[in-house]
Amino acid sequence: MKTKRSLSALFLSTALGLLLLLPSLALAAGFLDFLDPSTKEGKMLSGAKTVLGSSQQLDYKSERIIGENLAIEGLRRYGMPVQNQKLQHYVNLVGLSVAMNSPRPDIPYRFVVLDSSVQNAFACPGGIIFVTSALMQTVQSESQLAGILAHEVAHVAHRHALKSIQRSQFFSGVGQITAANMKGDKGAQFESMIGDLQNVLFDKGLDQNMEFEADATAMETTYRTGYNPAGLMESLQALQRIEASSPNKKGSWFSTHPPLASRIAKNQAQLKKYPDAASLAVLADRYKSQAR
Amino acid sequence: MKRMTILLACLACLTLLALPALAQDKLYVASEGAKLKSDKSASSDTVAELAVGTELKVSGAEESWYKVQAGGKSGWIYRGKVATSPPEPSQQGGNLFGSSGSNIQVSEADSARSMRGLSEQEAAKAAGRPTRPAAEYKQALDKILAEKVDKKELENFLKTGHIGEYAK
Repeated sequence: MKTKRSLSALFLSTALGLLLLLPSLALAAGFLDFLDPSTKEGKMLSGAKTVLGSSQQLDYKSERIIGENLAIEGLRRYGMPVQNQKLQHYVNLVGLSVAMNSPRPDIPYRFVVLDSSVQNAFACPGGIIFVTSALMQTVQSESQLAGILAHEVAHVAHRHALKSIQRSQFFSGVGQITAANMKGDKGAQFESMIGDLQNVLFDKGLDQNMEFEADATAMETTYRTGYNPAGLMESLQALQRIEASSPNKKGSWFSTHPPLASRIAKNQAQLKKYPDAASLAVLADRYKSQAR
Repeated sequence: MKRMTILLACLACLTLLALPALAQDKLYVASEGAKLKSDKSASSDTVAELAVGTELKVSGAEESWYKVQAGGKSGWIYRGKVATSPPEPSQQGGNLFGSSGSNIQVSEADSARSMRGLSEQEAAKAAGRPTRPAAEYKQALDKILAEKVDKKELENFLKTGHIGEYAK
């Protein structure tokens, strides 16, 4: 009897404990709805773990020097910035809106529209991001542009370009680019490394898995910002519609990115994680008034 | 008696399962420009501006907002500004709004071309574009880097678009 009474007391106290836990459980469910650990923060952790080799030691200034060298080559290959200050400023506003909610929100990004008939967007290490005027014509809304820019921001945030060439001889023993260590052999290795990066960014394209990772991060980043995360997928679908008739495929998203169908399928699957996606900002009219 | 033991065991298991969830009552600021608001609305007063990495103690969640405490102050923060783990350390890039002139010299702006063994004229001809002196690319890059957006303007941009915490 005594045992039974003490068991009843234990039962009561456990039940009471559980009741106290209930609000926390409800809260936890809320977290699961809003924050999927496999996304932004998960990526942050996996990103930190998968950076290998000595390119990780590079400080931001050095990363930016590499990026600026590539930006110059981007201007050479694709064309100069479009002379339309209102347009350039608008693209910076959209880009910064997503960059501030990206996995790497604390570096100074810049977004530039290049005068080019090639459908493309690309990112230089350190945060200079280009989108061509042809792609701006294909895009139909601010949420689509936000998706594309968030994809490029994700490449910068995950340091994809640098990871692609981390075995470059230049990186051995270099943690910082200075005027002194750029002389002689290192200077030559630097040029060779920039050449490898050009090959990756403008000709060969990044590793397919990096592209998929950038898409996934972009959807999460646009969702966090408050744009409809379907924007990226919609822009890929628009590209798919013009792929067959597009005359200029060399150096475009068609040649440097994985097949559009597989990216669209993956984005479609991820979209299921955002049940309120359709209620978020699209802004087709603002895009048309600012970007055309 | 036996039934009671099974029931207790089940309750104990449930309690144990609930524990990891309890550990999630902590969040971190993961975005630039995060604000602690007095209510779950962007138009309410700003209690504090929160730096990336700030630890938040969570006491509730409603709609798209978390009720949190940060540094002794309590208020609400929009869901898009937080993460369950602290972000990676800053890469000494300054901040989102910082700007700097180009880090490279005109002579270096030529390195990409010389390395590929093509003269500017040859490269331009191959790509069917006009030839430009290296200084022009450097100037274009400097102009790109000089483009500035301030915090207030970005906030207005989000507000007029009803984006995120400014949604209607």
